Amino acid sequence: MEGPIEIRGLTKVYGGGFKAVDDLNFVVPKNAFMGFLGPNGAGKTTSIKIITNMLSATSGEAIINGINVMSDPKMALADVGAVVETPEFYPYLTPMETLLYLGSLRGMTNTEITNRGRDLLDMVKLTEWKDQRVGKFSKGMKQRLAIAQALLPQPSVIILDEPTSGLDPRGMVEVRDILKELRKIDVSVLMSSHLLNEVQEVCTDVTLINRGKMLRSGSVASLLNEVKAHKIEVRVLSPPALEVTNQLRSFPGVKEINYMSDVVFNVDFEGAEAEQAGLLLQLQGMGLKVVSFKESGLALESLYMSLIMESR
Amino acid sequence: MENTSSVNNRERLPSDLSQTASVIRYDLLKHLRSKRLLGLLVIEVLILVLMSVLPTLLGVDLSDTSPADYMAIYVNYVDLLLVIGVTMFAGDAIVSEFQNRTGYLLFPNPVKRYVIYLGKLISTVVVITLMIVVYYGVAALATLVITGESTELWVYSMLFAICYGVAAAAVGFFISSLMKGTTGALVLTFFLLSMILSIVAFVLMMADIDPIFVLTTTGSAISGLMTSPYPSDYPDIGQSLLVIMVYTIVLTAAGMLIFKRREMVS
Ligand SMILES: Nc1ncnc2c1ncn2[C@@H]1O[C@H](COP(=O)(O)OP(=O)(O)OP(=O)(O)O)[C@@H](O)[C@H]1O
Ligand SMILES: [Mg+2]
Repeated sequence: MEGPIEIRGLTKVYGGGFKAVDDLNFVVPKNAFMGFLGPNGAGKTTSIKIITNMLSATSGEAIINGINVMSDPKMALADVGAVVETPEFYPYLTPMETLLYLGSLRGMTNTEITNRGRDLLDMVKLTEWKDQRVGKFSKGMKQRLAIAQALLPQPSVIILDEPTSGLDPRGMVEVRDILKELRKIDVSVLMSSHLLNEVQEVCTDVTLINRGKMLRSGSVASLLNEVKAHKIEVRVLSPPALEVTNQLRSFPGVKEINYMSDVVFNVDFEGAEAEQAGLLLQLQGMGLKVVSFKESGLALESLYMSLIMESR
Repeated sequence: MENTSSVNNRERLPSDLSQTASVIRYDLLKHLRSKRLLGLLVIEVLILVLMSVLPTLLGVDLSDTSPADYMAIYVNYVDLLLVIGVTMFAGDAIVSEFQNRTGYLLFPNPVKRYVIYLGKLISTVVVITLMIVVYYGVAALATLVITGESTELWVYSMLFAICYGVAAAAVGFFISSLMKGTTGALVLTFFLLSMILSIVAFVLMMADIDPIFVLTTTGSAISGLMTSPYPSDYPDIGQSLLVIMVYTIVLTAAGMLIFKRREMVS
């Protein structure tokens, strides 16, 4: 398979002999928004640093738009915008000057940078800080500026390493809105994250890694199809009798019932949608007055947890 | 926020040369806005004022001293000034990109590491040259005022000092591409240029080896050039310039290579 980002047998052994990335293979398809998921220390940042020419791979290759990053980083990164870790800015430059500097390295004209820069700074809500030196900016402001600079050259490939880290809840929502905008334009994105709801909300594709090894890679829809187990939270009007609970346990597909309180319990359920609908009917048939019946937690989360558990 | 497909980031990518110019421009801006340059210029002017005014205040009559001899007093301190300037503007130039994490911003851009290195080195050389020119300029003026005469010897001394400054900056850059922390880089640059190299030269001399190939030895030509004819016990100018050139080229090439290979880890 071919795509704007191709990772082939990527391996990174750090100085101490620690294998942080182990024979990683995946492709970000054109115009996909790929979430790069994995627990702390899985090797996400390490992989992204290799793709953005900040680390050299021990073996394997990272190819962007057909060009190997290790052999021709300048050409490979020409059409890439990136945010890696939370970068630090030159404290003596203002946001606009920072954009002028980075834009000039890419051959943008000053007029072009100023115009686009104004829109981008507006988008990341830094307009009123546009001419203040970055030195005293907060972490969240720097993170938003980092996102703006990544979008500046209108790259066809965007690489983001935990773009919402360090942001307050409102900042996260704002950045997520920007990310969703990216889905509408002609751009391929690779974004690392631990936030499964974020990934499920904005990504079209997912690559899951753990301990440097790839577990799964594919479209979000195809991965979610793999998920069989659901957790359903049920709230009833009055506490159910013990025998009702026991009866429920024997209902096909029900794996476990856990009470959260007298009137709230979780059902671990395995089955298709039709069977899940049947479960609700069954509950009501047993005389339970169901106030709410909803899938709790995220489908992606259950897949993630089960795959991570398996790979231990 | 639309992405017009008309943008071709590959085609419009500037050459290494024009990217070097961008790096120079914005790195210079850093120096011009930094408190370091301002502080250094203030200290420089204070020293000059002190040296020109103090003798008059104390009633020392210098009006019959030759302008070259008088200005040589000022030139004696150029060496020290260069060490301080190089430490401040070169000593942490590269390592700070790693330690201050600005590399995370700069390195993913389509720009070769050697371009960054070269651009920063040139901007440092510009600042050091500025510092030297201001110093010599004010000193020459003071000489004219106090002795009533001038000498063109200082121009040679100044030109040589600038060349020496380039090599010293190359030393600072090499160290800053090698060291893990900014403090270590600054300290090593300072002591290497102010003491360590001269100690090495001294030991070599004890062992009857001509220490001309130790960079700091050539630095004494800065004062030597204030005497006409050029004193025979000072390092040969031609040889000194050769040593300066070799240091600059070799250390810059080595520094660039280290920088290119260096990994952005934190
Ligand atoms: N410079 C280094 N030297 C040695 N080991 C390192 C180095 N940098 C990272 N590691 C190790 O490599 C592994 C992967 O780290 P990496 O930062 O890529 O993980 P990550 O997936 O980005 O984690 P997180 O979600 O916490 O950001 C970790 O176990 C880490 O300790
Ligand atoms: Mg990380």
